[in-house]
Amino acid sequence: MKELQTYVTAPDGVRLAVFEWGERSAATTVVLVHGYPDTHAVWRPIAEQLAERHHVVAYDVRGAGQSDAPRKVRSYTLPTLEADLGTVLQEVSPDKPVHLVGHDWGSIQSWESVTGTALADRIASFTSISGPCLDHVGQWFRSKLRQPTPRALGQLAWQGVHSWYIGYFHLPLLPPLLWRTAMVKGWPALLHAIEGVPRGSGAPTFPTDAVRGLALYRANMIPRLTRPRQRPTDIPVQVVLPQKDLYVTPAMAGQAPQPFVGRLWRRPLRAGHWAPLTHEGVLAGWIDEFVDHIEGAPAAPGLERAQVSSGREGGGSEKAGGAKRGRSGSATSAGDTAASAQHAGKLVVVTGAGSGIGRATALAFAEAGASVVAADLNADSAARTAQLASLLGAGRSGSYAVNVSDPVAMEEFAKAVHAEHGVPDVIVNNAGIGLGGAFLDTQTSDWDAVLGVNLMGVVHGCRLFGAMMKERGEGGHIVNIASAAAYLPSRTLSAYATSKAAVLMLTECLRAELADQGIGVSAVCPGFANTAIAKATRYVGVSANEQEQLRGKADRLYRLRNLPPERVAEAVLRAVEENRPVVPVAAEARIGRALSRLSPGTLRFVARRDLTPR
Amino acid sequence: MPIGSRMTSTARVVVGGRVGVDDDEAGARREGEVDEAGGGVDLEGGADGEQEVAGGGDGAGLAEHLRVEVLAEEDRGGLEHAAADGAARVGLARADVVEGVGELAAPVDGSTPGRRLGEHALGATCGAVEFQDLPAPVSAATRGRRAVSLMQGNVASGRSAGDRVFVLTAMTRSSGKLGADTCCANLTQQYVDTMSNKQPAWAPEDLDRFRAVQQLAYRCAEAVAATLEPGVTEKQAARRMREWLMENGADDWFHVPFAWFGDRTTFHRFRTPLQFFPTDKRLEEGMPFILDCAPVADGYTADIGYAGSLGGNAVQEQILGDLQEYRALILAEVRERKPLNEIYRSVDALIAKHGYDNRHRVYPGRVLAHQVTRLKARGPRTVVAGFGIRSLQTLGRELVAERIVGRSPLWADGKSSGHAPTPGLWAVEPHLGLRRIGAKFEELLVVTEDDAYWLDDDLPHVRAWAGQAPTTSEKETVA
Repeated sequence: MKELQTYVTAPDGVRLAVFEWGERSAATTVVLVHGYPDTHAVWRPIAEQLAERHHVVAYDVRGAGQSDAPRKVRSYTLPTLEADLGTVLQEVSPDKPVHLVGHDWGSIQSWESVTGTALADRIASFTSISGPCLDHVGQWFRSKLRQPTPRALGQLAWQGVHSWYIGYFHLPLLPPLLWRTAMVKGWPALLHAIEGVPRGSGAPTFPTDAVRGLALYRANMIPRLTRPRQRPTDIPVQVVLPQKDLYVTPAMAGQAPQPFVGRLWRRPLRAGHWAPLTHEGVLAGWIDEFVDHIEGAPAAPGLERAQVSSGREGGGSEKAGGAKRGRSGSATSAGDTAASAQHAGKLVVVTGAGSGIGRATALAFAEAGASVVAADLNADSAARTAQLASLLGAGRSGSYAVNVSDPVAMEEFAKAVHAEHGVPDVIVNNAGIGLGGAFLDTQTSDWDAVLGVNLMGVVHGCRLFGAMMKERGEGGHIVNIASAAAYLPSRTLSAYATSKAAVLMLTECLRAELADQGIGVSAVCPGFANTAIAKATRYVGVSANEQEQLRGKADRLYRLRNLPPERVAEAVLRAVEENRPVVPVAAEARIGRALSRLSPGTLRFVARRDLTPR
Repeated sequence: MPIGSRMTSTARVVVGGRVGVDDDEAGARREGEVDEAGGGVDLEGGADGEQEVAGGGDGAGLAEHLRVEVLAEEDRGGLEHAAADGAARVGLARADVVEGVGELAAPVDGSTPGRRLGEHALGATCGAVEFQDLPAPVSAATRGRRAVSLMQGNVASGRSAGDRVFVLTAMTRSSGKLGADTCCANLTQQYVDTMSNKQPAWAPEDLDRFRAVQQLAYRCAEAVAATLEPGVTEKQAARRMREWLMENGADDWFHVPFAWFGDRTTFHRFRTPLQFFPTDKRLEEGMPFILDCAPVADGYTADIGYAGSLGGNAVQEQILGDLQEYRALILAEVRERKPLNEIYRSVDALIAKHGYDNRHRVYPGRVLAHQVTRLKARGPRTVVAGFGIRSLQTLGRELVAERIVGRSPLWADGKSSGHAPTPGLWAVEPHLGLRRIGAKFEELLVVTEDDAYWLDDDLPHVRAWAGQAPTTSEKETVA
């Protein structure tokens, strides 16, 4: 792709290098502002993708790349940088407001323009990546100190740990010295090792950019953070939150702008700080979606879920939850809670979501802010789960009737989810059936039924949605509900335990395979959770009468055990949040897992006892 | 479906009084006098002491309180269930069931009174009927000089041949003389135990008083709910209810007013009963709350629950809307006279279908409901552990008295609730939760021997379901 270079001159005489891609006549102009210690080169991969549909502009910020570098620190204040941007805008898009994108310091300085008045009508939208508004951060710190809950103080401390470098950059001599010496080779190596940034993506002017750019910190950090101003804005803002950012914690970057931005979208991304170089495809897609939406196109499903504050009603919900949302008070409060929640903006697909663990998991995710797609054999119960999920403050939810053991139906289901909701961030393969009785009484058809749902259902879910996640490239998580029976042998559970053991091993293998794609895979192994499975379990080799009795007795025991499915749901959320490989739930599952390693003989001894309640 | 409705025909004998024969197929009912020929039994027992035990001194013995039913019962399961329930079937009918006093015409043999009396009673009713294979008592309960036993057997011949029957015998012993009453009963029969201090609660004027206190309590909840503002604490809300009720006619408490805010509406992480008491938790915008108060006025008790939220909460509104189904379900199944623990499980099934969580199981005893009676106890109106001491006395006595006849004034899902609804007043309180948001209603259900109805339909949640504006009918305070 052709890169066109020109120069513009800022009001104070500093010459800025401007780079353009794509047709200048395109309907929309996207302006990319790089961070520290980068140049416009950090945007090249994204710019080339965006240029197919937009006029794309990037420029070297003063002090970096081919732009001039004034010597004085006060030439790098935010108002000066804002004036630079104004000059560039005047040159590249004098008539039409542009869509602004900033990364790191580029985002920090863009916030100055977005929340200010000088360029407000020149900016149509803003996408912020890893660079909060310093005033918002100052206010955020203050609000946390005003309500010093342990959680708030924890978030403060955590951000403090990540901000060590700000103090370091204020030191005399040492930072420039290091940039000029060890870091010349060390920095690109570190970026490659820690963030996975491709080698050779740095600018040729690198050590010089880093040394000159220190002025950005020295000119702005202390005054803005110690005397933060109130800086609201009406410009729509999309905040990208790299979850593994070593410098800007997602908690702060996500929360800080909320009180000041009227139209806010938050998009968590499983990436590090240099996402523009590691996740260029995803970011280009998100910028493109956002620009299109602000220009009038309907929001893509992922973008719709990411919207946090007002304007949500416009999204349109086909489910019953939509009707209830009419009451503004509850909608706002629910929206706000959901927005600050852990899984806000995510799309979660749960199979077997019509009851028990599936429903509890769907509702727990909904409460944590996710949009939920509930699938169940029973259409009504799936719809009910989706309705409750909407009430709990999740975004648009959906429900599908699907038989997980039917490959064709699952394929159609996956396609429908993709078309209506987009690619899921989390898939919970939960649907399962119980089967008890002796192996020699178990017919081939029984095996087909159990393996069809418990194993192949999981296989289809992993296969179809895993492929979608991989293709999208934003990572994701697959949770397979196995069982404590996966590692606890029993003479009366041969078919069921076999299916669950297979799920456990499938999970382990898939986890290894998908790790490089940023897709986590977890198995959750509950003990005797009190769900409808006790009453629906089929026992082979007994009369219909005995069947009912066994079910009734098992159900009674499960009720007495009183392990609510909500406990399992919590474990599922924990598995996703901490990317845990195997999560046993409840004492019997944990003790069983320990015994299966320490003393398998004990388990074999117990396995010979017929523990079916009679 | 209640077991009683599986009967193909029923013959009813009222000992010492009238005989009724129900034939479901014909839909006809014939009545006639019992043959009173034969020897007499001294059912009065002849002593003052046992009258005290039996009847509260109204002069009527045991006899006229009993009646006999012969079942044509084909469902073995139901009968086995009945047998297992044992002494729960035994009790004494209220005086208004039977008119006139008669004597059971059979000699009493102390060793097998049930058999002898059963034979007699059935013979008197159905002609050539005799017992076959009458086993030892399957269940018995004694208290002091009074004993009850339950037997079962088969009718050998006659019109009801092949039918299984239960023979219930109530005996009183005094001065070496045995007085005994027997009846054959089925599951659907209900008796009010004369040992209980319970007053028949359906005298219209009594019900009016209960209704008035319940209205008072709901008005209190509505009035206090209207005053709730952001920042108010549970303790403040509870105190407001307490003061409002004291000012408006309440003179004692079944329990002191409770207020729960936010996640406490689902009793989230409640481990001890102390956690039910109001805390300093503050109400915030959008937060759900539940107000629960149980005032007593002149011995008439109300126990109500009122759920709402500050500024609207979509989840709670959904639960409150769905509670309508629970009110209908409970009433329908009580009318079918299903055992209380089965109704409890039906409620659980509906909860599972709706996707909610059963939160009433957190209440002491996991109760879905509890009986409410008119307080007769004397003594100071002190509050102990949140409950009025007179109410505790009454409840304690109920627990003991009902336990003896195998019933419970607490309605839960255990075996002790495995009996048909006891006539009386029940404070029913389905309490549901979704995640951290809870809602309930609580109101009095009137259970009679063969029917049930909600004491009052003019309540906030019922009006809300009907989509009506609150009626502004005159509601005089209970004085």
